[in-house]
Amino acid sequence: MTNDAPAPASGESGQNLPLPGRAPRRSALRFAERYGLVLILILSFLAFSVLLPETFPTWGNARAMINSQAVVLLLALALTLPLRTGDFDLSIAGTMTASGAVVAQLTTTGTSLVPAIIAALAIGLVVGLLNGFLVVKVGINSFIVTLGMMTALGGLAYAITKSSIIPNIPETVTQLARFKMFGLPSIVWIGWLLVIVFWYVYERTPLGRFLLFIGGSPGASRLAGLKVDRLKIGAFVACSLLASVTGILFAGQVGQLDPSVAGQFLLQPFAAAFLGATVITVGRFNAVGTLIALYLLNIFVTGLQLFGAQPWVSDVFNGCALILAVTFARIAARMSGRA
Amino acid sequence: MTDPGQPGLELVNLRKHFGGVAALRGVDFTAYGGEVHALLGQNGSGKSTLVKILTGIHDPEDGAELRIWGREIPMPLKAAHEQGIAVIHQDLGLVESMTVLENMGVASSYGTRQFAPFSMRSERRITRELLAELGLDIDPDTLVSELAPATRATVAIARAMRLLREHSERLVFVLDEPTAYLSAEESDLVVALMRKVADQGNAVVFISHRLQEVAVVADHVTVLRDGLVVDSFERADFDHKRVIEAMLGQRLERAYPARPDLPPAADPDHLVVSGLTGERVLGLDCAVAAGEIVGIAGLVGMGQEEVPGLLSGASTAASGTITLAGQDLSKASISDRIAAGVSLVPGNRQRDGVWLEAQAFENLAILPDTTKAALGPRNAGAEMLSAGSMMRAFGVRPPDPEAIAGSFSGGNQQKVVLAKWMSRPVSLLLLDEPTQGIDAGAKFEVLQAVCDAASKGAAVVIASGDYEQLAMICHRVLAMRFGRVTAELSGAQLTEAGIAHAAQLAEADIA
Repeated sequence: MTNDAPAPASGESGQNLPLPGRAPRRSALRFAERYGLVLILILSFLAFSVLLPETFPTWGNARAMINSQAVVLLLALALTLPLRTGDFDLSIAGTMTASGAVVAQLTTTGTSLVPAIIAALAIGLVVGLLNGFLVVKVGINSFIVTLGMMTALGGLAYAITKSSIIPNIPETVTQLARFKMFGLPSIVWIGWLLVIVFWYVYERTPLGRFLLFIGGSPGASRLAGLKVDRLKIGAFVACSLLASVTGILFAGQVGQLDPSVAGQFLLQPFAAAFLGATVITVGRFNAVGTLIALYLLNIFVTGLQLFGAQPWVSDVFNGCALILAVTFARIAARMSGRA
Repeated sequence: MTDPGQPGLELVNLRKHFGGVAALRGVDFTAYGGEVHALLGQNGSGKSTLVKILTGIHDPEDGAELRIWGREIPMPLKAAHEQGIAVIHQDLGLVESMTVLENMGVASSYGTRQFAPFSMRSERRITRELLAELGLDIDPDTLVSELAPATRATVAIARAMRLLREHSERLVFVLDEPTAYLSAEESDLVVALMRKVADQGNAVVFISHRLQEVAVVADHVTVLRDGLVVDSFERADFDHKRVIEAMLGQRLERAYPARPDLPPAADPDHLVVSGLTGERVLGLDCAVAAGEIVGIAGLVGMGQEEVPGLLSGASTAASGTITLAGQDLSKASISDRIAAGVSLVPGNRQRDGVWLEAQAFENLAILPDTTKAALGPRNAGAEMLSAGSMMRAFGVRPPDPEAIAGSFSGGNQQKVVLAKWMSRPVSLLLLDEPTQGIDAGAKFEVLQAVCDAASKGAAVVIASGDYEQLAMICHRVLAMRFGRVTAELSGAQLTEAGIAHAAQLAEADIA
């Protein structure tokens, strides 16, 4: 269409234009960037296996590691939804605990399973709608809204459980999370299945790209005709609903519900989601990366604990990992000219 | 206060490569005290690398020298202001939520040490004196956010002067496209200030895409191309054609694409706007035929910049009706208007046009396809293919669908925006300052694409302060003042001067 254009940059001079970020990047470098964390995962597994041949590379230990991360995996996946649209959700652990408390309280006092689950999911729905409304429609910073929500839900969990641990959750609930297939409980399989679902939505559907664009460029997204407000609220609601589902499964997995547990699940999903954004689709919150990051963090924590490290090591490690993950993501972005 | 004619800024043998690509290939540049020295060049000519060396962001290769008023300065340059050199960028770096007075002091630490007290009274006196010296009629207690863009630019210059004077008597200013987002009238204010600063004996380096301003203010012009100085001459030798030739490296036969013919059988009422009212626009009535290109001109703040947003639904109209090809779009959402064939090329490209961190093909494929489910699988291969062919059709360089949008020059980003919006049938094409801040070659291609859309039957509405551009490609231009259309020009009236005159009527009325 522009054959008769002067096209001053297309001739020989055009070849000399210094275009930042367009320097041919060796595919090896790109490969290393995409799969670096996978390599570290494998190497760290091998290293700990060599150092701790008796305890680390055993099926029992692997199963324990996978089981221990099932809940965090579900929360981290939920978290990637609002993160992709550019919002924080600090309330997921609170939503999980409050929903778990509702299921535990209702089922231990004779309510049957289905109404209990509906009541628990109602918490997620209300929390998601409230978060979304306050952030999107009222325009409050998501960090503040969900921080307040987290604390309020933590308190609500105490109210529901009357400030005590609810023991002996009935088998109908525990079977949801503990039902075994190929030696692993259903809560693990649900997490893995959701990784595939989230991968599909994020990487293979228009919706996944819409969510990402809204987080990256709200202005361009709105002018492209995307329903920015609706999709942002939708991300909050889907996130909170998944946190509620996680709460139900969590109550089932543990078999009892401790209302003080929320704080333990606040940081790890963030560490996994942010570290996960440094692999696979680099610079973006993604499902497979989140899974890899989570297991990598756990290999280190477990390995260190098997070496006799104190329990506080895991907190120090996860906290530092979150900061390092964000730092690496920043550096990676700068290197690829996206900063 | 200084000797004019003494070299203020001397750059010798500046070389810089990025990953094997030469950005600067041995540039010598001297700006003298008392002169405004224009530095011209297309995007990618090495201009911005040169500026980044002067701000200390880049370190040139060995053999380069930098002298300020004859004094050798080691590179990479550190604490530039202490050496008496200030670089003022397009975004100015003012804190909008603070007053002029507060902004003046912040960069210079209020003339005191970190924890020492400062006197607001002496701050106020210094600021008043400086503003008076520069002939600026600005209340120091005004919030920067309340100032017009041109006035902000002058505040930024005054602030830099305040800062530099703490360290040195003789100053070097580098103004990196300070007028790029200003209308011709607004930029006059900045240009006049540049003259004044130079007349004090300081050296002023002025970077601009606008040759008109350069012709008015520059004492000396240096043109960069492909990292080399290709031409350098005095004001007396200034010639638009010569400058453009030097910048482009080849003779520019036509700076503008040919205006497409109006199809004789076209529906004259393809777009009908009636009583459209927004924040500034007051009761706009107009009809645009299919295939017609209508320009909307006006001084900044007169409402013309609001029109594309109101028509696209990006901003909400208070009242009025919009009918496109018989379909009432007055209350339609953005997505419904897009479905009706409305395309908006927004004025703020970096915020509303592209997502800079995403790849080109992702930016091109972001328009929702209403015929497909949002959760259905995407065909990544097809997206990549169609992105590649769109990018080639619109002359995006390089036409690499996987390149990150932010790695393109401004002109190529704008071509990506156009390609995105023209990837579907366009019934109404709206453009807000479509060629702002992009180089001459890209400008031609962008306008060519606009003309192509018109010849395919789209109604086109362009809001722009670039009157020459409007005169060259529009069939009709509406001049707005205070939100109302005050003049309609077509045929022989359609000249740059004619449009400027029509827009100026408003100014005469204010006075």
